[in-house]
Amino acid sequence: MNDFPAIPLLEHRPYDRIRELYLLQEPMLLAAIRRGDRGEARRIINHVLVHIFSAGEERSDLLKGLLLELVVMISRAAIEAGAMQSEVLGMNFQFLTELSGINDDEDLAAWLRKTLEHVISTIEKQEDFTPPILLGKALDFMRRNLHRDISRDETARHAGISPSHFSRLLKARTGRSFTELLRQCRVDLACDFLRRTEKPLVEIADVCGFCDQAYFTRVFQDMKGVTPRHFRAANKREHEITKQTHRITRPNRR
Amino acid sequence: MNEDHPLTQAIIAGRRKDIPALVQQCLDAGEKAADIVENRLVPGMMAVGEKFKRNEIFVPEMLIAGRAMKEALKLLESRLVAAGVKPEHRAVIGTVEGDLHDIGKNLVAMMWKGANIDVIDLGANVPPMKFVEAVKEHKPELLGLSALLTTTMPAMRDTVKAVRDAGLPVKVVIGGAPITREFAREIGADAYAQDAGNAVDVAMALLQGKA
Repeated sequence: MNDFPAIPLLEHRPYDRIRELYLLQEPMLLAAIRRGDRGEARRIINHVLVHIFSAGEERSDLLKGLLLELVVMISRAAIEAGAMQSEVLGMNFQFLTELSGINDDEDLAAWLRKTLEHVISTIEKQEDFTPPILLGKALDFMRRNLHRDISRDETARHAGISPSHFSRLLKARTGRSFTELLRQCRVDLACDFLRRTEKPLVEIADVCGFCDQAYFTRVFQDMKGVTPRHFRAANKREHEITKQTHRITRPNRR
Repeated sequence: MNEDHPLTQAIIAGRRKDIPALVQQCLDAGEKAADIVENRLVPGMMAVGEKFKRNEIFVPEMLIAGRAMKEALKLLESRLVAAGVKPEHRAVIGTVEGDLHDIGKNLVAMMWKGANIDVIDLGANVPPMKFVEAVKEHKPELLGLSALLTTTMPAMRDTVKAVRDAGLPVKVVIGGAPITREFAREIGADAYAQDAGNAVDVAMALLQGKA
C-alpha cells in the first residue's frame, strides 16, 4: 500500500488556500516563537489547523497529507530562521515514519502535538544569530551606512519596523541596543580595513563613521582591548607567520 | 469543579476507547446519568475549553475530547431520556451559506454540548431560510452562526436579517476567523465569540442574562 496516497491530492487548487494562509501567518508565527510565546504560536497554528481539519475531515489520508505539509512548511521556516538543519530534518524523518503507521484520531492528535512542539523547540533553541528578514534588512542598511551618522529611528523606518519594536527585536536577538550594535559594526568594519589595507587611521575612522581619530581609538580599544595601531601590527605579524607556515607545510612543487 | 475523576480525565485526554468502561463504573457506583453528565463530563469539556482558550492545546486534541464526550453522552442517552432529563437550554448551530467549513462550528457545538446545552447542528453551507425554519421548529434560545471565509460574511448578514425579519426571539452568536466584534454589532448579532472556549462563556452570559 502507498503510505501517502494524499500527496497527489495536494496538487488540487482548494489546498493552495491553506498554504497561502499559513505563509501569510508565518512571520507572526516565527516572531511569537522567538519571543518565547508558545501560546501565541499555538494560536496561530490552530488557526491553520481549523482549515486543514475542515478540508480533511472526511478523508484521513488527505488529512495526514495536509498535516504533513504543515509540518514540512514550519520545518522549512525553522531552517530558514537558523535552526540546526540536521536536527530538523532528522526529526522529520523519524516523525514521518511514525505518521505513516497512524490510523487513529487519538494517535494522530498526539503525533501532531509532539511534532509541532518539537519544531517549535528547534526554533527556540537556535543559538547562532540568523536575523529574520526585517531585522536582516535593518542590519544591511546599517552596514551600508556606517560611514555616516545614522539613527535607530531611520534604520527602523528603512526596515519597515516601528522603532520601539526594532529595539526590542534587536535586544532579544543580539542582546545589544542599537547604539551598541552600531558601534560593534563600525569596529568590525575598521578591523577589516586594518587587516586588508594600509589606509591611515584617520581615514579609517572617517569611513567607519567615527567623528575623529581619537574617539575611534578609544572605542576600538574599549572593544578589542588593543589600539587600532597595535591591532594592525599584531595582525601583520600573524599574517607573516601564517605565510611562512604555509610555505613550510606546502613546499613548491617542481 | 473536580477534574480528577478518571472519566473526566479520559474526556480531557480524548481517550474514547476508555469511555464505556469508565461510564459503566460510574453507573455501577450508583451515580445517576444526569449526575455523571454534570459532575464528570461537563467539567472535562470545560477544562478542555479552558486549555484551548489559553492556547495550550491544538485543534485535534480538542476534537478527540469532543468525540470522547459524544461517546459518553451516547451511552447515557437512553437513561437520560428514561429519567426525563433534558438539557436546560437549546441551541441551533450551522455554518452559513457558501461556506463548507465545518470544524470551527463543530468545536463550538462540542463545547456547547459539553456545557450541557442541547445542540441541533444544521451542518455547513446552510441557507438563511433553513436557519429560520430550524429556529421556528426547535425554538432554541441560542443560534450560532459560523463563517470561515471572508467571502461568506455577507451570507452571515443575510441570515441574521432573515432571523430578525421573522421576529424570532433567539439570541444570535456569531464567530469564525474573519469575524470581529464590530462586524457582529454592525449586522445586529447579539454576541461575538472569538473561539470555541470563549463561545461557552458568551452563551452562558446570554442565557443567564435572559433568565
